Formats: sequence, structure tokens, C-alpha cells
Amino acid sequence: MESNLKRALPQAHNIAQLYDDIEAVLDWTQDEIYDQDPAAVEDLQLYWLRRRFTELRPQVRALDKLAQDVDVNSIETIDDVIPLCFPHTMLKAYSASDLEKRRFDRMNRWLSTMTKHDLSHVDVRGVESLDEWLNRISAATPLIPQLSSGTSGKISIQPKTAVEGNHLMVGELRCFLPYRDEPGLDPFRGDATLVTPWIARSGPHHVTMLQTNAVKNIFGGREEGVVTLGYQKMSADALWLSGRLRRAQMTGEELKLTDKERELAKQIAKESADVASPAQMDRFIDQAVTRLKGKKVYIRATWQRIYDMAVACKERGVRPDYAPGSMAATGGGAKNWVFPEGWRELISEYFPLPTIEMYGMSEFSAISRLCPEGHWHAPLWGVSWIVDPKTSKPLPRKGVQTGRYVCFDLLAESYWAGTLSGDKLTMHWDGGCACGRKGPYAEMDVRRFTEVEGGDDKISCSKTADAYTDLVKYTQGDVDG
Amino acid sequence: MDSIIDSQTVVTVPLIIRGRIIEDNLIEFGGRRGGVTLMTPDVNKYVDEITLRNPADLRDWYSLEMEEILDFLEELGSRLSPSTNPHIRRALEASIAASSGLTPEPLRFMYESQRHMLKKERVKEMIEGVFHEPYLERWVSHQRLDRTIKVRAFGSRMVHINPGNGIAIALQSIMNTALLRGDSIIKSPSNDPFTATAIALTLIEMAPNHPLTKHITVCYWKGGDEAFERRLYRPNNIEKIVAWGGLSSMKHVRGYIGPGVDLIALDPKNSCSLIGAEAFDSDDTMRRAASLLARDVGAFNQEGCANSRVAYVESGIDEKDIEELNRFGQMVFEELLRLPSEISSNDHPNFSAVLRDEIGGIRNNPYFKVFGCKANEGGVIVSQETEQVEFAIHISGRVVNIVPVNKIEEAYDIGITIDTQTVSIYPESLKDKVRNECAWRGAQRLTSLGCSSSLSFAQPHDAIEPMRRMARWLVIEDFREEDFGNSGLFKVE
Repeated sequence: MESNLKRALPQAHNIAQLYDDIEAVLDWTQDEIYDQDPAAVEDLQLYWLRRRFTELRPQVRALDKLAQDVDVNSIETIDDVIPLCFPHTMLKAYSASDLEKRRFDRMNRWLSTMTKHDLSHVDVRGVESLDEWLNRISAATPLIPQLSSGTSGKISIQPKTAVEGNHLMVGELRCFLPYRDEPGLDPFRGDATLVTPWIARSGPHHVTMLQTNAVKNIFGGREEGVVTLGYQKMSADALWLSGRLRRAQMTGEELKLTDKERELAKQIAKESADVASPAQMDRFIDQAVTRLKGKKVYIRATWQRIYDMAVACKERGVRPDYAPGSMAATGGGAKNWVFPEGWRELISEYFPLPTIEMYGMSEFSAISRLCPEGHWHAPLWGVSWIVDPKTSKPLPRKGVQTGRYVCFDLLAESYWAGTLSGDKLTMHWDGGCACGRKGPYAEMDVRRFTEVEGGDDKISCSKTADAYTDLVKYTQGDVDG
Repeated sequence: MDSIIDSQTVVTVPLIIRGRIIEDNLIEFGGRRGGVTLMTPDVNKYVDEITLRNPADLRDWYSLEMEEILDFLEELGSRLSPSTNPHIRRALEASIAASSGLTPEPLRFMYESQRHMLKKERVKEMIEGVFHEPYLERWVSHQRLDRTIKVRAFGSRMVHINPGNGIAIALQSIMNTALLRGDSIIKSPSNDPFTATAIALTLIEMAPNHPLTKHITVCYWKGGDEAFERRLYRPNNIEKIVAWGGLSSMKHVRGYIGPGVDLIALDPKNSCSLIGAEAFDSDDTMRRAASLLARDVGAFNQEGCANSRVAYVESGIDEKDIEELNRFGQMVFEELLRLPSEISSNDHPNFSAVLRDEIGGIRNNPYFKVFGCKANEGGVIVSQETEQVEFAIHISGRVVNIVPVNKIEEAYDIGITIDTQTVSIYPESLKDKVRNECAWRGAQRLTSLGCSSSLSFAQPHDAIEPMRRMARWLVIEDFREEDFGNSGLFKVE
């Protein structure tokens, strides 16, 4: 009788436990996370911010240098962390020329300033490609660097360990967990299939890594637990080259490609054509819809992709019939997608699933789910600040404040996870959201800071403002071609 | 009656159509960050009046001699001081509120001083420098092998899409209209919504029936307003579009270009500097070069196309050379902070957040050393190798990237492109060495280090002669009796 009871009662979680082990929060329910007293949360956050700073400053050179530059040597208050946060551009502030000229010894040196792990013994002799360099790092250190494709066409490289990389997957998929009586499912039980119509199956990009982490850590290696659109490995070199091609297209620059690069470019084109091909979609619909009839699924995709899936189903006369409790999650509005007429209806018809929205960034595993009131609530291991966009000085942690979003991921233990984002947010610091979640929350509308904000009817003879406007507009899809 | 305008104020900008002041049918524009809210008449309601249908209506200019036009312009210039002219004062206030890059002191300085471009001797010099012969005043004869020709430059019906990063262009558009005896429709930019209007209002008060007053229209519409632009840009209505600006404004305009409409495109430009090894001869020469470069970088808060953003320095690239170069970089930063406040501000009102992030990113990169750029004071990025920052074309807010080279020749391929307008050079002797290589790669204006912002209109600009382009060049031919039948082909004996 006793042992049954012990098994039945969940271990009580309380915030005091998190002082020893912040990572344990990943076992908590959403109710437990969002019902904590905000003042207690802030105390915990301050404790961990100080702890991370103390641990990492001597080990992460970029942090030490910044702390020296801004002359911050201790964290008395939570706002003291702000000048220590890295601009999001830090992750791509390597020299593009180093990458292009295959000077991986210098890339090593750059990357090593951002992590506590030693990269000096990573042998880069004979390394010809970005993929190979990343492999050598993974082989010789605990790092599995994670890439993101930046809007400027330059990729960001984050020195995360396997555990830290996995946190991003957990943070995202935790958005499916229910809070109170909101729709939810538990993706970590492994009894629902993850459907992600992403163009590649594996590779160093943070989305492909989410997929491989899910296969490994949720499905115990069972590949069929995750259904993807593309089945190939995404090459880092291809990602890099795509970025350059896009950038050259935008600036009108003539790209001089080496023979190898030209081959790679052809390969990229072919692979993109494959992924977009009807045959590929046939296979995907078969795996993601037909074979999952009556099964529980959770779909992670942009609105555009879900729409594409609905169109594909319609064209093939296939109707999804998932088990009750299935859900979908999108990363919010597609940036440059023109919503075709009737898109909502078509999606509702084919994928009548409770669909949630998520907000976050790959530097920050404390991903928010949009609550029924239309607000973002970051889980407690993510610390937030709103700063003045011009001065980066903190705005008060009370009332309603609009400004630049700064965040810190307390789970990261090998790199300094404070980021000055490029996003503009409105935060309600005093909480009281009608959804029931305690603590501060942000309004749904998130914008990126851009030059265009000043008014796109501004004309100047100087190329600077113009160049950036074009770049932003291009990446937002406003410029033809 | 004059209020102080700030970004909360709504500025009402009347529509001026050839001497008529219109303040009805107001609609609102703007109100975004860095701009004022404008209330101005909806041009769509006045499109027929805005366009000058009959080009022969330019004949009223021909009752005036050039001398009279010059006198008139000088008189106009004398009336444009913000201290005595309430319209200009209001324009200055609106520019202060609407400008994202210029602070009150430099703006005040610009408004007070640039009107002097209308002084008679300056204008005469400009005409002489551009036209060389009195084409603007009469038919000028030339003897050719097979005929005699008489050439005269006539005015045209023009649309000016003006930039807002300097009031000189508004002045210039109006001045050119007078000298060319043309008709101009001036579109004000949202970052300078009132200057051209203020000058037109001054003209109306000064001489309501003068041909210049009767041939200036100043309005504001949002670029891309298809309904309006399609009717405006008809070859029946205009002959020339003088368009400043980049892709977005050009995109709107180029869509309308067809036969009969000439586009004079003044595309956005980059500018840079070339500094020879002589700068490192002594501490004095270093300091001097640093102060000249600082001026090229910081003048008018680096808002102009002519401002230098990258300086290629023949310092050498080994360790000791880079140490010296870093010392130079520090000097440039110090000199930047010492620029006179009437031409530069140590607290840029709108330092680009994007640029700040980029600079923040490279601070951690051992191959770049950053001086300054802590707040809005601008700064210097010294490359520790021959590589400019990737975001070089995004540099603004009084920032310069100093790039070392072993020999100045290495800078050509990195730094000089078809978009390069001004290259400021030190020492003077280097100009001869670099000029052809710069020219072949696209550079348009070589000047002395320190003089980047000293633009003049009495010479080619952006590799063209804009004022000559704005004219319509007519030719009258006379043939000798015996050449009548030659049908224009070369006669072979």
C-alpha cells in the first residue's frame, strides 16, 4: 500500500529546490511553473544570474572582456546584468573571410572566446569545409555547435553542449504541455508523433537539431517518432552558401565561387527542387497523414507550411484523421508570406487541431506560448528585461514598458546566455494576466528593430541607410527578386 | 506665432502651386519614430493643376535677362535667414524635429550659411563652370565642317524628388529652375518637409508675379502613390525627373520612365579616404591627418554621401605597424570628439541600433579594435589586418573603419567601386598616383583629406553634369548653298 502511494504521488516541486539545480525545472508541470510567486521567481533568477556570472566570467573570455569594458564586476541588482548581455550579432561576428578562406584555426579562436570549453586542441589541419570543422569540434569537445541562418545571410554559430542544445528542444516542446485547462499534450511520453515539415532531417541547424534531439531523447532512437519533409542532412556549408547567394542577390554583388562552391550551389538547387517536388510531398503526406490515421500527433510548423500541407492533402484527396488530443504549434506569423485568400478556412478544414503559437529565439530556451489572452509568458528559467532601444538603459520593471527585449537563459552552463535581442516588445511587469499565469507577460505584437522604422519615405543620398533598408526589406520579402 | 516643433507636433505644410497657397483637403502623413506628423493637402485633388500642361507656358521667363535673374536670386538668398524669415525658421524647426541624424546646431548653421550659394558671384561661377558658354542666355554659334550651328539650353518641366539630409538641394532645385528658365515640381522628403515650401512662400511674398514664383510647385505625397504618380509622370506633363535616393524611391520612379521622360538619377553613394605612408612621418603629421580624417567622417554627423566611412591607410601590416595604426585610430577618435559643434555633434540623436549591434559583435573579435562607440559619440574601428568590416556599407553615426594596407594600391580593389563618390586623399601628392585607378573603378570625386563635405555645384557631380542634363539643348543648323544636298553623309570626292 505504501509503495503504491509513493509511486502515485508526484514529488512536490518547490522553488527552493531550484537553487541547487535549475535544470530540474524541466520536470515541472506548467501549472507549477506559472503559479510561482513572481517575487520568489525574481529572487531565484538573481541568484542564478550571479552564480552564472561568477562561474563563467573566468572561463568565457568574451564575457570577461565585456565585463572589463563596461566595468561591471558584480551583480548587485538584476539590472546590472544588462550591460553584460551580448548583442545577438556576437554569434556571427566571426570574419566571413576566415570562413571562406578555410582559416579554421582562426574560427576556433573566435568560437573559443564564447565558451568555457577549450578548443585549442581541436585539430583543424586539412579541414576543408564548415561541416568538417564542426565535426572535429564535436569529436574533440563536449560541444555540438548549433547554427541559425541570419537575416543578413550570415549564419550564427552557438557553442552549445549536447545538453544545452537539447534544452532548446525541451523548451519548445514544453509549449505543448497544458496549463490549467488549456489544450495540451505531453510530448515527452513519446506516444505522440512529432510532425515537422522541415526541409532537412538532420544537421547542425537548430531546427534539425531539435528533430534529432527528439528522436534520441524522446523516442529512444526510433526515427519514426519524428516525421520530416526533407530526409537529408542539412549541410552547414550549404547553409552558408545559401546565405551568401541570398545576400549577393540582394546587394547585386557578383559572387566569385570556387569550383567546389559552384558544385555545392548546384547541389543545393537540386535538393531544394527535390524537397519542393510533388514526389517528396507524396512521401511526406503518406507518412505524416495517411499512416498516422487515428494516431496522436503534434505538428510544429509555420502557418505557411501548415497551409502547404493542407493544400497537398486537398490535391491528393487525403484528409487527416488524427486521434483526439493532437495539436499544432506555429512560430507566430510568417515574416514574408502573403496569406492567400481562404487560408484559414482551408487549414481549419484539414487540420482542425488546437493550434498554439510560440515566441522565442535560438539563444533562449525559455520559449513562450501564447496564452488565450494573447500574451507571452516566458517560463521562469528565462529572465527578461526591457531596455531603451537607443541607450540600452533599463526601463523600470513595473507598469507597461515598450522597448528592446533582453533575455537570459539560466540553464546554460558552458556559455554566457545573456542576449540583447533585435526585438521590440511591450512588457506588462505587474502581471495579472486573465489566463491565470502569474508574473510579467508580453504583448503579442513583436517587431524587429530596423532602419525602416524611421519612415520609408526618408530619402538620403548616402548609401548607408538605403543599403540597410533594402537588406531588411529584401529579407522581409518586400523587394522583388 | 511661431511654435517650437517637436516630434509630437503636427506640421501643416501648405501645397504651393505656382504662386498659389493651398491649405484645403488636408490629409495626415507620418508620425513614426524620428519624424513629425505632416498635414498637407491631398495632391490627388489637385493633380491637373500641379502638372503644367503646356510647355509654351515657359515663355514668361524670356522677358528677363540673365542679369535680372541673378539679381533676383541674390535678393532671395538675402531673405532666407532663419533669424529674419519666419517661414525659414519654421522649416528649420521642422527639420530639427524630423531629421533623424542632424542636431539643431549643425542644422542652424546649414540654414544660415547655405543660402549664400545664391550670391551673384557664386552663381556666376557655377554657370561658367558648368556651361562654359552663355547657352543659358542666347544662341551660341559654332562652326562645323559641314554646317554652322547655334545651340541654346532651354528649361524643361521637371520633377525633383529631393533628399532630406541637407537643405542645399532644396535651394539648388529652385535656383536651377530660375537659371534654366524651367518649371519645377518639388517633392519634399519626409525628413525635411518644409524647406522648399518655405522658400516658395518667401517668393510669393517677395514677388508674387515673378516667373520663378509662377514656376515652382512644392508638394508632398507618399512615394508609391500610384494614382497620383501615374498622372504626374506623363511625358505630356514633364520632361525631366531629378531623383535622389535609393532603391525604394527609384523603384517607384523607374516604373514610370518611358519615351519622353528623362531620369537624372542621383543614386546613393559611398565615400572613403586614402591615406599614404607620409601620414606616419611624425607625430605632427599623424595628428594632422587624424584631424582631417575626423572632419571627413564627422561633418554633419556623417549624414551625407560625401562623408568618409572607410579609410585605407598605408601603414603596413606587421605588429609594430598595427600598433602605430591603433595609435592613429585613437587620435582620430579624439579629433572626432573635438569637431566644432556647428558641424558635428558628440551625441548622435539616432545612432543606428543595428550598427550598434554589429559593432558590439566585433568587439569580441581580436582582428578589430574599437575606439569609442560606447554610446552615441561615434568611434573608430581599426582593422588589425587588411580586411574591412563586413558591415562597412552600413556605417553611419560618425563611425569610421580604418583598414591597413602595405601599399596604397591594395586599397583600390577593396575600396573603390562604381558607388564610390568621394575619395579624400592625403597627402596631396598621392592624388596624381591614384587618380586613374580610382577613375577606372568608378570613383567620381577626388579631394583633399578634410574636404569631403565641401561639395560644390560648379563642377561635375556623381560623374554627370546634372544641370546640363536638366536643360533641353536645342540646335539650329544653317547650311551653305553648296552643302544643301549632302544629306548629312560624308562626301567622298
